[in-house]
Amino acid sequence: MAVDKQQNRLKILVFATEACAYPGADHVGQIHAEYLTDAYIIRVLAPVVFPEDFYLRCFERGVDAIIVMSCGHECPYQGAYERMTERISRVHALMKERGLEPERLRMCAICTVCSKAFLKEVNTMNEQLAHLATRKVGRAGELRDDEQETNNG
Amino acid sequence: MSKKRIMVDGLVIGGGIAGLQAALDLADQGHSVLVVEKEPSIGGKMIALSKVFPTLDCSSCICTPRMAAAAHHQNITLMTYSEVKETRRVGNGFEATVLQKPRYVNANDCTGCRLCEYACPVNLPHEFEGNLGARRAIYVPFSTAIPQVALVDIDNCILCGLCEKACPTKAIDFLQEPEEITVEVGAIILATGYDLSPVEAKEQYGQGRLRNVLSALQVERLLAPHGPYGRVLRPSDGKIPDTVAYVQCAGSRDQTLGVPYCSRVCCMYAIKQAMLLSGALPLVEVTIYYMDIRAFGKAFEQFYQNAKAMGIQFIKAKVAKITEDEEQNPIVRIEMMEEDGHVEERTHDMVVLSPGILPGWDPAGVVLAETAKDGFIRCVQQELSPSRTSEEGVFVAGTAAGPKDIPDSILEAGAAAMEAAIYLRQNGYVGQEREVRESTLREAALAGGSGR
Repeated sequence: MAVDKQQNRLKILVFATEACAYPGADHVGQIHAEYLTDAYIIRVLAPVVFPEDFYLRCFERGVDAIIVMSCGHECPYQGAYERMTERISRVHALMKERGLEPERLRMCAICTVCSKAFLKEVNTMNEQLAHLATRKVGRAGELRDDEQETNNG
Repeated sequence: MSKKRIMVDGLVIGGGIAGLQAALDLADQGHSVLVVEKEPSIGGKMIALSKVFPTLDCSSCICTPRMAAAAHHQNITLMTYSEVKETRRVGNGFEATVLQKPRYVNANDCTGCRLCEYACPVNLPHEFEGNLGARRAIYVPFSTAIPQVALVDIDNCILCGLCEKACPTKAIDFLQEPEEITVEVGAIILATGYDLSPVEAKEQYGQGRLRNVLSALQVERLLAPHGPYGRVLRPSDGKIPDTVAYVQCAGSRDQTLGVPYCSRVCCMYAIKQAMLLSGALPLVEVTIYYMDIRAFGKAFEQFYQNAKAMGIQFIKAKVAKITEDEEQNPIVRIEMMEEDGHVEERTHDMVVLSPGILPGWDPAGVVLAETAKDGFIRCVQQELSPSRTSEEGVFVAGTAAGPKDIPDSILEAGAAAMEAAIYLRQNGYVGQEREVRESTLREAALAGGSGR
């Protein structure tokens, strides 16, 4: 079973859009494909509604990584996808400022039948987190402690 | 054979995109609708496509929400794997006899878990994948199917009983029998869709014997992200094709096949597939052999120009013959119409035929509506009311009336629903009556008469 492979329990938030990515995630289930249970899929209308500090607060609360699965150019809300890409760039900049690796936040487009792309995103993120752990930069939580120290000091 | 009786305002024959849209448009106006689909899942041809032209939107992403909306609509009942056998005029409306074919799986108990599929030892070509992939003798039609209910392909089942043992809900019932349901309706919408001209029809094109000559619908599956191989490969040896040729009008505008008309969508889907192939395989060379490029719709011409700018080759030539070499590479024999008319033979890794679009269903003996000379449903007022048929109260939508693209099918479905709604109102199929109908419908659904 997928759960057995897991050693350190990570927390990857997946924001999946209602129109494309959420049915896409559902499709992964329909084809009986497996992925690690550390991905938490949250259905959203359009991820653009979340402000920049929302992501930072997620990391502060112990989330290891976030994948924003959007509809891409097929987004039913006009201009939302373009604004979302800009927002992600701003969040990446803020993450760097706080010493958080930008790899922890990714954005991609997933369609209703993109099960392979979905699995690739989730698996790549898992590998990336494992890689970050070996580089001994630690998880987001540890970084946050360092950061708090410097802030306090 | 048990008998059941249900009453609805509208009967839609065909659960493809046109039928679903017509059903949704009727149901949203407060009418109760029954959709009868002959296949085990709704979605029709569109659900199998990879992308749509000219926007290159994911087809499944547009089609799946419509399927779900119809399946969850309180005024719509779906009957899949069912066929309308007969309709009779009764008073202002009709009485239809619908035959529910046995799935050998109890639809109310099946959870779609597919454990039966894993247990089944029989492998068969998968129709949904254009026979390129495989399925079992017991199978859920495809991953996005609605309803997610398995069915037994009884002709190929070896009756080993392994699925019965594997089923956690004991849903498999080999004693299931066909069921006849009588439906009282006020209006009928025909959305019976199309079929492609068979590859066997043309001797010159190999009659389906050449393994690397595919039909355009098979290539749709190759290009889909959830397709049979998960990537674009040619079937004979799994090689990634370096050169792909499209043979246009491979079944349309062809008197020898009795298809004198243009199938309207082939030019655009060939261009679309060429673009998608170039995207999927950056080194591929795509050549389209055409008689005329008919890019008549909104934004179509720009789409065609974009394809040319991308480096897709367009050669005005009618392909006379397709053969293959010893490595199963298809060879096309062409006359270069825009040069000096010399004859050339060119070898490609894969050849895609754009077959003709033929009527999907003949209403003879089932519904009184007449067909035109080409076999499609005859529209009596083509100019002003294109969804009216020769029979009052029977309307037509989508490719049942002739070849057309998805937006046109959807527009026509809306028009047919509107015509049907007016007809229903004129004949008193509104208001309180509807509630009686709905409760009857629900009872019928609870009794297991409908797909989920």
